[in-house]
Amino acid sequence: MIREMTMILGLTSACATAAGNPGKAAVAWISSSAACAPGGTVQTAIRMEIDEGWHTYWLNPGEAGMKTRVEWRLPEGWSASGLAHPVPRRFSTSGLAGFGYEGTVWFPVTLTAPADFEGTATLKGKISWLACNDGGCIPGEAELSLDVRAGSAPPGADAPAVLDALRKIPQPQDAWLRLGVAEKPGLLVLTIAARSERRFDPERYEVFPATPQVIDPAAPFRFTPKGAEWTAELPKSEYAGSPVKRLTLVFGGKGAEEPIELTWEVP
Amino acid sequence: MKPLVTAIFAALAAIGQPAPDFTAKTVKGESVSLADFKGKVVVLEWTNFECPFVKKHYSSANLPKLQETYTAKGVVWLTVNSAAEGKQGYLDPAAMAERAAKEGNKASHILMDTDGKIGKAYGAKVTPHLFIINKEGVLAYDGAIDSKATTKNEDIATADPLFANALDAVLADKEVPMAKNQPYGCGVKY
Repeated sequence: MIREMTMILGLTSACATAAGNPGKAAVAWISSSAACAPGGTVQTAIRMEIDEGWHTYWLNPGEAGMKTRVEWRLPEGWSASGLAHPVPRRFSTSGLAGFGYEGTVWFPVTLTAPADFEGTATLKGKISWLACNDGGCIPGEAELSLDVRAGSAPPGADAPAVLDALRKIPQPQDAWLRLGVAEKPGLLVLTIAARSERRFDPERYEVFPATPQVIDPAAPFRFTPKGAEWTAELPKSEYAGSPVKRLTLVFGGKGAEEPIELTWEVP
Repeated sequence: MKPLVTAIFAALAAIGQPAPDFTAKTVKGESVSLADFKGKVVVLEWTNFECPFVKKHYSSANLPKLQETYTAKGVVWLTVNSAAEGKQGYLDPAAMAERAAKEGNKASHILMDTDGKIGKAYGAKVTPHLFIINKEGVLAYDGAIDSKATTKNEDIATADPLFANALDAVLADKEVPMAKNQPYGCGVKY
């Protein structure tokens, strides 16, 4: 019996590899638990497995591309967070700088049940994305569906993977680090200062602009120490508003550092 | 390190400046120059019929309708193919003419820019990317066709028609709203 199952699985994956996925990615909606308390939350994640040789885009896609989005169709009283995005990587596609993912990427989604939740709910969503490489772009879309029952349950088999995906989401550090942004013609001067004795070294991170159309996507980040602060000068995006009003930066650790984010906003 | 192509974009076209002159062969083999259209409003539309964003605006008839509407008002509409030979979107002149007709294209001329000179002079980055030159020969618009960066036909009706609004403003000698904005599409395959 087990041998038969293995053969069937082998055939299926061979077919998928040969043809590739429509939209160049396979997506699945995975939950940490089969149950959710009324008025409570359940952690889930959308797993996207991107065909080799293709990439999809971050919430700031860069000079081209398109961010992944979900249109939720939820039962009354339910709410879903947006797709949380892990740290991207940089791509140059047809000479255009972009940010996104290749291989497997997990987008955490937190679901909140209504206070009067009972029985079972079926939550649905339609996810759409764009997969590109130097040869071209293919749009992808898939229907997602998740059943959740009211009550409590022990963490399911997928809980470790979902929680691992959550840990990879950059966490705001504005409590102990301050990001400052000043404008010069065509340039933004960024400064990072620690509010306390705790030390911060931006050189241990890859830095990405999460806010579209503020910083030129092709520009590399190089922070240099200036007294107790770190500073970097970057070209503005050619589409930056004047004046610039808000900027979120995401920092992905080069080593074991947890990913973080910092936001500056005009008060 | 900045990609070479991006560095070239910094070179020539700018809103409020005279639009770079060019000469190109149409798909019919005729030679046209921007100077031929002096005194007219000129639209440049970069295209790649394999790009899902271009497919959105052609399969919905959005671009063909815009081409028809505005050429009837005396606008010179130039559809441009800057794909290098062997790259996605490239079609030889005869194939390009046939495909454009099949897509319902109603441009005044379809230009072959296979060496990418015109695209790079204007900074054409993606398809579709729209430029408007006013009747004084000054670049008045460089940007997206509309405000919803998706591949879905149904998003056209609810998007802000940025390009059409700009063209109406140019034709009415009014200030162009959002004269420079980020176009969405697939990278031009230089």
